[in-house]
Amino acid sequence: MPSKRKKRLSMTETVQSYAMISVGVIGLFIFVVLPLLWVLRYCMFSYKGFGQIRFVGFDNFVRVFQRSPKFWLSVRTTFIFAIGKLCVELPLALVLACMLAKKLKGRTFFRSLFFMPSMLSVAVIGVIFSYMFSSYNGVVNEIIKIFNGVGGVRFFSDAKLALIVLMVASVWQNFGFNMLFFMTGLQSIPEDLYEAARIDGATERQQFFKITIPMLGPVIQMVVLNALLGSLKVTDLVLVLTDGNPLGQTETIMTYVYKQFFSGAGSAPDYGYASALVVVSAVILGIVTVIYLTSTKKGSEIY
Amino acid sequence: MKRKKWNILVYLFLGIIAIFTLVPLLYTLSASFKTNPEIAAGGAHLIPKEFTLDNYKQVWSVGQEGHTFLTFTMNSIFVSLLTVVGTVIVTSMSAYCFQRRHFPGKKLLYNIFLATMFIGAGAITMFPLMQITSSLHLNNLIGVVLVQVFSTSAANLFLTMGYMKTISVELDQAALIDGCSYFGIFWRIILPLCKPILATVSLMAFQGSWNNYLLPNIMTSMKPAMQTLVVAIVKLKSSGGAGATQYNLMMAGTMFAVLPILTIYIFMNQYFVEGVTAGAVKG
Amino acid sequence: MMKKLLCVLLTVTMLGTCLWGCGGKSQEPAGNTGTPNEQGGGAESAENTEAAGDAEVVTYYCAIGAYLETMKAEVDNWNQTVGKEKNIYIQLTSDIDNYGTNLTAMMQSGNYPDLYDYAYENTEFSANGWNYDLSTIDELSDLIARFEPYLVDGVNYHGGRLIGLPLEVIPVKFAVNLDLFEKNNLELPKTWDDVVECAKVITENGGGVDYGYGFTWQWSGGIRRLAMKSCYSSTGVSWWDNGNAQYDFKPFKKSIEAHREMYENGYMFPDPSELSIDGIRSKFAEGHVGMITAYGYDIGVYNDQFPAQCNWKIIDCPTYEEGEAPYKGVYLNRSNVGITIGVTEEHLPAVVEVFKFLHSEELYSKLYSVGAIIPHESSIMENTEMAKEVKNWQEMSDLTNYAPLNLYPDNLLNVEGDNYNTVFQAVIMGAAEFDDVVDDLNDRYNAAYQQLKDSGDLDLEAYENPYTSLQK
Repeated sequence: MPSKRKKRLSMTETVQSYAMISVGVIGLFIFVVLPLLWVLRYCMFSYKGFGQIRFVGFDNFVRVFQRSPKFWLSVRTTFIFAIGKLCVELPLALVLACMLAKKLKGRTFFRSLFFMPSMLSVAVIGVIFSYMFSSYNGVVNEIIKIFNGVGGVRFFSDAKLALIVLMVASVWQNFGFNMLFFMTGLQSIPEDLYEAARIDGATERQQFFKITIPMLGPVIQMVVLNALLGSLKVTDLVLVLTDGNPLGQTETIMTYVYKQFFSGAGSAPDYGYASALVVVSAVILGIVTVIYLTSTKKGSEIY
Repeated sequence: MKRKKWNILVYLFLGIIAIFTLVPLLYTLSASFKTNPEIAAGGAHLIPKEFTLDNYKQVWSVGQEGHTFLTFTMNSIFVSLLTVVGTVIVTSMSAYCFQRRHFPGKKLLYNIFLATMFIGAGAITMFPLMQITSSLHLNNLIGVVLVQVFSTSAANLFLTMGYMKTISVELDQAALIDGCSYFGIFWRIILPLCKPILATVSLMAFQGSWNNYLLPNIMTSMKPAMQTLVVAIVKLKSSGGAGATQYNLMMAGTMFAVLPILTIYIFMNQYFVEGVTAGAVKG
Repeated sequence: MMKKLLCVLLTVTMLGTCLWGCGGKSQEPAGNTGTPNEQGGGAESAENTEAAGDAEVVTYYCAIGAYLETMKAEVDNWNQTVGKEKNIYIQLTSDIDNYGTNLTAMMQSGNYPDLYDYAYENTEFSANGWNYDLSTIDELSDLIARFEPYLVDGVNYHGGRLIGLPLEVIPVKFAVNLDLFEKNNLELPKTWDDVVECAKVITENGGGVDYGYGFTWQWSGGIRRLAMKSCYSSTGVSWWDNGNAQYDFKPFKKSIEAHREMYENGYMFPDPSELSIDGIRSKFAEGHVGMITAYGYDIGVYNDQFPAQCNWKIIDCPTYEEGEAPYKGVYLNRSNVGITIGVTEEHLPAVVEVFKFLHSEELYSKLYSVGAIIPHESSIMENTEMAKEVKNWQEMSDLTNYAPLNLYPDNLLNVEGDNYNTVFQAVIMGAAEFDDVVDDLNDRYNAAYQQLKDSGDLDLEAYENPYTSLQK
């Protein structure tokens, strides 16, 4: 008798689960998976957008691994960009979230203010930052002139400086809503824990490290993953601010791949090579994700 | 005493970050009142040399074929609000199923969702999306909504799942014992507790949808009646080298975009502020 | 209280837009022959849409930017007068950013416009068979005859099919800031050496405010458009040599090296890496730049959008050496209009009517008179009175001894490694030597062309015909 009931339960459970998840899965397949497959089907072929589609086997992949120095340069640049920027942005977002979760005067003002950068479209951010960092009369150079007497730092003609500008713009754009995510996570930590700790005489810092961080574990894990993947996939901001200049040294993975899909200044698109690039970059990001998830597994288990 | 010193440090820190945040925003605001030559000239002036309201007037009177600014704004609101609704429904249900329920094929589906996050979407998938939505007769605003909801579903899913993990499983069990159905647990317990994360996700979805340019542009290419506000504004600037880009109009248009997003934010704020105590579980 | 109010407001807005949006959705046009009524979708239908009634709609998808307003006014005018009589309504949609991508996406998914704009580089279109062969349409034979002297194989004719008639001509010339030249007692430059000299003097006396030369590579193909296309009077041919059917970048050494000298010595307005084309044009308009390459559409820019605050003049592009060149410069054939393959038999007559309008002498004359376009036919230019003062318009539209830009197959090739824009950018920035890189560049491009030829995908005859017809 009991086993029969268990079986019935799991049937209803399965059916209900499928029902609830069906919308998401069907939508995903139609609008996300299918277009991706359409793009990826070219990875073993060579196709220019016109003419024949030729089967070339693994040629495209060979080209990616052996004859694409610019691609691997962009991989390196992207990782430097992502890690550099996240080291600043995520702790900042976390600290701000903690500060603003408490009862502080003017916290709504600060919260709304910090959220505002993410409301602007990337195109606008690109324009504003390129004018702010302009070497002729940009605001940043004016400030440098005040301190240094000589301004005119050409941010965009030096690869390292251009990357720094990109990082600053990206942090500026994103720290607001990462802060928001952390704040929602903070909401879910019950007050009683803090009460109990305070009664036991724990300091603010101890409370932070022993209660807040562990309890926020799963949220932190997901927010960091989201931010990491988002940073590794950055496209629009780079295209608008530097377009890969100077000399392609600020190209990121996705801008490089994107440019292979469209006939740019002087060449036809190569859908085959571009698809192979998509596959390879997906694998790279996948590896990063797997490494990340396994190494933070501990942090995401609570209770 | 210690409290006071700490507070001062906190405010100082907040102040510095606030200035860092404000400066580019002020530039955007001041640029919306400048003429295009003045913007293109660049420079460190926050106060426009030639203050003008022309940009706003032009944006306000944007129109093609008799469709006005109002039309485009309505389109944008329609698309963004529906995107939010769709996102909340899809994300919450899927996250619940993945997080709490067990069913055959769960691991596989989970990994497929995860995999779609690795592959950079965006302009690359424009062509097939157009073909798919066209053949489904969906190359209209509803199609735009659907594409927007699902293309970010994986990311939203994981964020919501992360949050759901912090909700104690014992709540579920308690409800089960009380005779609640699985859907009921979702509806009565999990969903209300997830309000903060769903509020954040919807805020992001609204903002992403409102500012989205490429997708609505390509899907409503020949139907000016269906354009969203951002698309219409970007069309105001003629670029590509022949003719100068009207950055001034873009800036003014941005100011128009900020208002509704800010409204939604204020609306959602109550969900952030609510202290959701999972104090229903003792011990 | 406030929150409750917002809640109510939000729900009302949602319901309102839902009803409104759904109403609009059900009225979408089926394909591209829907009537304007269906496209209205809202209470606010202006006079245009009402007046159209049940007219036949012809959709024209274009990339017109600078003179869009004028064009729209003309189209509206036509719709109200001739269009009303013939029961046709032109729906003009302009999309400048992402024009090519959008058009390709539309064609691939089967949502074609009736008429579309193409720059001659969109060879994929005809290769995919997406356009109508105009020579098969009898009603257009008069029009085609009128344009006969200006039709170019490879631009208008692809593989023997006539796919478009030209709309405008965009010359490539040089703009100079007369004030700065006067101030420094300089003569207008005739050769590239002169350019470097003048740039040097202007910059040295410029005090960090004025610079000699304006340049940018933050514009796709900036180097191609600014440094290379301005050399034709000296090179006689582009980097693709039609006569010999091969790539040769060596003739451009002089120009690239001149640019390099200017960059290294700081004669270029800072900084080509950060200024977009608009940035440098606005600087020229402000009077801080001595010289800059100027295209036909820049006249509109310096007159209307960034009104030039200095005295400026259009002159011919500099040459490599003193003396007479076979021709003074080159112009681009732009905005050719074609008919897409999606047009059905019944719909064709209406489309042809609109096509005739778009290429009518009246329209061209009107557009010329406001400084919008330069037509091919000098008779139109001579017989038109300018509607308003457009500085340097006459100088720009003087096409005597100018030749059309020849075709180059760049957009058809898959070149491995850096394209010439990137390579030359490296040379100008001093990261590479011209002589070191040019051989490899030639080899790679020629190899890619050979590959294209061997594949047999396209008929490349048009690219191997030498042509230069001089405008008399």
